[in-house]
Amino acid sequence: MIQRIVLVLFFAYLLLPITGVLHFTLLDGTRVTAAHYLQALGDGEFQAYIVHSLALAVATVAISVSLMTFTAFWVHMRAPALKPLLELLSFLPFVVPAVTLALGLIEIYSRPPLVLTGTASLLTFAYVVLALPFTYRAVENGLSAIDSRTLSEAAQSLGAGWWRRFITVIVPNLWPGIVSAALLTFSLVMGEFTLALFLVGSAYETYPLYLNEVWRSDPKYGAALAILSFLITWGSSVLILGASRRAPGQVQGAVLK
Amino acid sequence: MRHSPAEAQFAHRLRRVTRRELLRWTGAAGLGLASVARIGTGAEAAAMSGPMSMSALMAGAKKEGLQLHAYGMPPDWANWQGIFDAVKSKYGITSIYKPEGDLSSAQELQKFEAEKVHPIGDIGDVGFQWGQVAVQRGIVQPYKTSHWSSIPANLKDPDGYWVAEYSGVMSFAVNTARAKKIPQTWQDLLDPSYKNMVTIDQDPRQAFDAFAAVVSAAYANGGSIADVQPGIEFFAKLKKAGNFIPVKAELASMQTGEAGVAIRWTFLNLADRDTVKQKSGPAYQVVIPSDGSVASPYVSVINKWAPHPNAARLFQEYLFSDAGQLGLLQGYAVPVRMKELTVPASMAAKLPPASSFSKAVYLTDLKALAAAQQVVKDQWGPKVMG
Amino acid sequence: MIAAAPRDGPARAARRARAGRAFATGAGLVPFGAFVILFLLLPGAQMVVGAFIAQDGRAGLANFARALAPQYLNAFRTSIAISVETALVGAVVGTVVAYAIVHGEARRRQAFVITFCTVTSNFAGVPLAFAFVTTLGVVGWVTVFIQAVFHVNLYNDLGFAIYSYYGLVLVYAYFQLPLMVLLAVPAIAGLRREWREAAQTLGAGAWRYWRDVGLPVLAPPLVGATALLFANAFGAYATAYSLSSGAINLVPLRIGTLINGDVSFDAGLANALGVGMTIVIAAAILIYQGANRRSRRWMR
Repeated sequence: MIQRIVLVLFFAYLLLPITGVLHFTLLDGTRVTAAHYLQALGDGEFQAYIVHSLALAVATVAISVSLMTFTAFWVHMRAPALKPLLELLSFLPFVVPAVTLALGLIEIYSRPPLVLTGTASLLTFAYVVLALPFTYRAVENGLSAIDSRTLSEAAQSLGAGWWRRFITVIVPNLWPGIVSAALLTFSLVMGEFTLALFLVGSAYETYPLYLNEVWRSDPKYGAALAILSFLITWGSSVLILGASRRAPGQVQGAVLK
Repeated sequence: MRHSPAEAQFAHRLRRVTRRELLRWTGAAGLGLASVARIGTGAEAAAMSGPMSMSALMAGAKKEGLQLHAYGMPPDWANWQGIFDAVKSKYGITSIYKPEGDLSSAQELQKFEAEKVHPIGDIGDVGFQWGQVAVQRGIVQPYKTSHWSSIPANLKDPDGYWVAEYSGVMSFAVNTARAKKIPQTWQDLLDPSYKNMVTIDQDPRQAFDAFAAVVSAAYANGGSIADVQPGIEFFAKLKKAGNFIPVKAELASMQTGEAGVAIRWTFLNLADRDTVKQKSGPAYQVVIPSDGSVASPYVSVINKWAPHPNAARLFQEYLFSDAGQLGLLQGYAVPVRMKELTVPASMAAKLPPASSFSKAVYLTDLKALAAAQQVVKDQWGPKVMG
Repeated sequence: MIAAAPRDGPARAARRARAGRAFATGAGLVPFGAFVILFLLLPGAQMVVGAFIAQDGRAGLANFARALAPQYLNAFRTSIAISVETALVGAVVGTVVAYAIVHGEARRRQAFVITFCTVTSNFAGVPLAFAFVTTLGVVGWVTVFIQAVFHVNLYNDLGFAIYSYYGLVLVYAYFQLPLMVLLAVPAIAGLRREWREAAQTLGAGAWRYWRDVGLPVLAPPLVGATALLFANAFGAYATAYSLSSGAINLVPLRIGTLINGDVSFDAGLANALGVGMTIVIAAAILIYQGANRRSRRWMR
C-alpha cells in the first residue's frame, strides 16, 4: 500500500513540469489544438534527425555497455586494487566542460592520420566517454550485489572456460545493471546538445540540435518536439526493457518479482 | 601546434603598424588605397584583401562547390534566413548555417581555430570587440568588398580583417496584456506595476546585449561607458523592488508572456513581436527608452582557413550591396550603410521613428568596453544577484 | 629420473606465471584504456595544460591565483552545497522509490516507472527549465491557477521563485531522483530474498537483518550512486543557466561566462576553475571510497 503511494507521488512530481509544456503546446490562446504536434508528421527534417539520434544512441549503447561490463568485471576479478583508479577515471567526464572537451577533440582529431571531425563516429566515441560515469556505476552496482567470485568459481568447477563463464554465468546475473546502463546511455545520447553542435553540427544533425533550431523561431513547435522526443525516448526504452526480459538464461526473479 | 599567443600578437601588431604607417605617408584615409598598402608588405593574404571582380569570385566559388558554411548566424537574427536565401537564388551558393547559428562569438572563433587543420566553417558574425580578438589570435583573413569606402573608418578594421554589418539599439518590448502602462524610460521600470516583469538576455557577464542593457541603464542614471556603476546599481534597485527577474528575454518567454518587459536589441524585439503576433501570442509594443539607449555593431569575419573563401567573399559582396543591406533592414537591424540606402516606404513604416535612434550611443571604444565589462564581471554577482 | 633440477626452478616459474598473468590482466584493460586515453584524457589534458598558461602567454600559476577570488570561492561553495543537497535528497527518495519498485507487485507498473525514469534522468537543460517555468513561473499555469482559486500569489505573497536557489534544487531533483532510481534498482535487486529468509530461519529480526546483511551489501553501491549524483549536479551547466541566468553563483556558470559567451573570454581562468572542479570531485570520490572501506569489513 505504502509502496503504491510512494510511486504515485513520485510519478506526480515527474509529470508536473510536463503539464506546463502540454499546456503551452496544446492551447493557442483559449483554443485547444494538436496542430503543433501534427506539424511533426509532415516534417521531413524531424524524421531524418530522429533517425540520426536513434542511430547514435544504439551505437553508443552497444559500445559503452559491452566495454564497461567487460572492464568492470575484469577489474573486479583480476585487479580489484585498480578499482579506485577506474572510479576516478569514470568521474572525469563530469569535470571537463562540454565545450572544452569538444574543442580538444576537434583539435586532436582534425589532423591526419585520424581525421574524424564532422563524422558520426567521433561523436559516438565522445558519447561513450560521456556515458562512462553512468555505465560504470550501473554495472558496478549490479556487480557488487552478486557474489561474482563465488559464482565464477562455481562455474569453473563445472569445467567452463573463462569467456564461457563470463557470458553464461556472469552476464545473466549482471543483467539488471547492464539494462540500467543501457537505458541511461540511451537517454543521454537522445538529449545531448553541446558535443553534437561542435563535433558534427549540420554534418550529421541530431534531434536535440534540430529541436534547438526550431525553438528559436517557433517555440510552440519546438516544445512539441521536446514532448515528442520524450515520448520517443520513452517508447524506445520500453522496447529495450522488453527485449531485455526475453534474453536467454537470466535470473529474472532477481529483478522484478 | 599553434605558436604562442604572445608571438601571434606581436607578429600581427607589427604587420598592422607597418601598413598603417604606409597609409599615413601616402596621405590617404585608407580608402581605396589598399593596393598601395599591399606594396612592400610581403607575402600575405593582403594580396586578396582588395575587392575582387565578380567573375573571379564566381569562378572561385564554383570551383569550391558553391557552398558556404556560416557560424553564429541563426536564421531569425537580423533576417539572416532571407539573406542566405537571396544569396542562393542570386549566386547559387547553398549555405549551411542553421544548427551552428547557436554558437556565440567566443565559440565561433574557438571552433575556427580548433578545426584549422581540417576546416569546416567559412564565415562568422561576431560582436564588435571580437573582431580585434580574432585578428590578434590570427584566426581571420581580410577582404574588402567593393563597398568598403562607404563604411565609416571606426566601424571596420583598416586592413580588412573585419567589418561592421549592422547594429541594433537597446529597446523594451512590453507585454501589453500584462503591463497596463508602457514604460518610456528606464526610471519608469521602477514602478511597482512592473513587478516580476523585467528581463534581459540572461547574464550581462555572458551575453552582449544583456551587458548593453546595463550600460544603457548607466547612461540613464548619470553614468556612461566609462562609468557603468550607476547601471549596476539601477539593476540592483530593480531587483530589490522585485521587478527584475532572471528570465531569458527571448521568443519563447515572450510567447508564454513570462517576459513582461524584454530588454534587448531592436532587431530582436521587433522581429519577435511580429512572430509572437503571428502565432496568436500576447501583443507586444516595442519602445526605445528616451533616457538611455546604446547601440553596438556586429561584424563579419572570414575564417583564415576557410574551405570556401570565395563563397564567403561573395556573401559579403551581397551583404554590403544595397539589396543585402535592405535585407538586414527587413530584419529590423540598422545596416551599416543606412545613410546611402533608399528605403522603400513600406519598410520605413514598420521601423521605429528615426528620432529614437538618433540619441543612441554607439559602443565602439574597445578599451572602454573592456574596462566596463570588467566592472560588470566583478560587480554583477555580488551587487545585483546577491 | 634425473634429479639434477636447478634450485630456483619453481621460483622462476612462479615469477614467469605472475608476469604472464599481469600481462593478461593488462591486455584486458586495453579497450577501456584506449577509449579513456584517446577520447577523454588527451582532450582533457588540454584543460590542465591550459590552466597553467596565463593571459599574457607565460606559464605559471596566475590563473589559479585569480581562481581564488571571492566570487569563485563562493561559486565553489554554492556548487558544493547544491550538489550535496540534491545528491542526498535524490539518494534518499530514489532509494525508497527503487525499493518500492523492486519489491512491489505489478511488473507492468515497474517497467513503466523504470522507463519513465530513463527519460527523465536526462531531461535537463533548456527544455526542463522551460517546462518548470511554464508550470511554476510567474505566469506558469500552476501559479495562475493558485492565484485564481486560492487568491494567493506564489511570487508576491509567498516569496517563491522558481529562479531562486531552492527553485533550482527542485529542478535538479527532477533528473537526480530518476538517476538514483536507475542506479539503486540493480543493487536492491541483488538482495536475495533467500538471504532474508535465511536470516529469519536463524532467528534474526528485520533490524538485525538490515544491520548485518542488508545495509552492508547495499551501502557501497548506494553511496557510490550518491557520489555520482553529487558529480552530476556539480557539473550541470545548461539547466542552471537556462533557469537562473547566472543569478545563482555556480562554478560551471562561471566557466561558461569565460568560454561560451559574447562578453569576455579567458580560457586560462576557465581551465583553472576546471582543475578546481576536478579536485573537488576527486575529494568526493576519496571520501566515499573511505566510507565504503568501512562497510566492506562486514562483507564475507
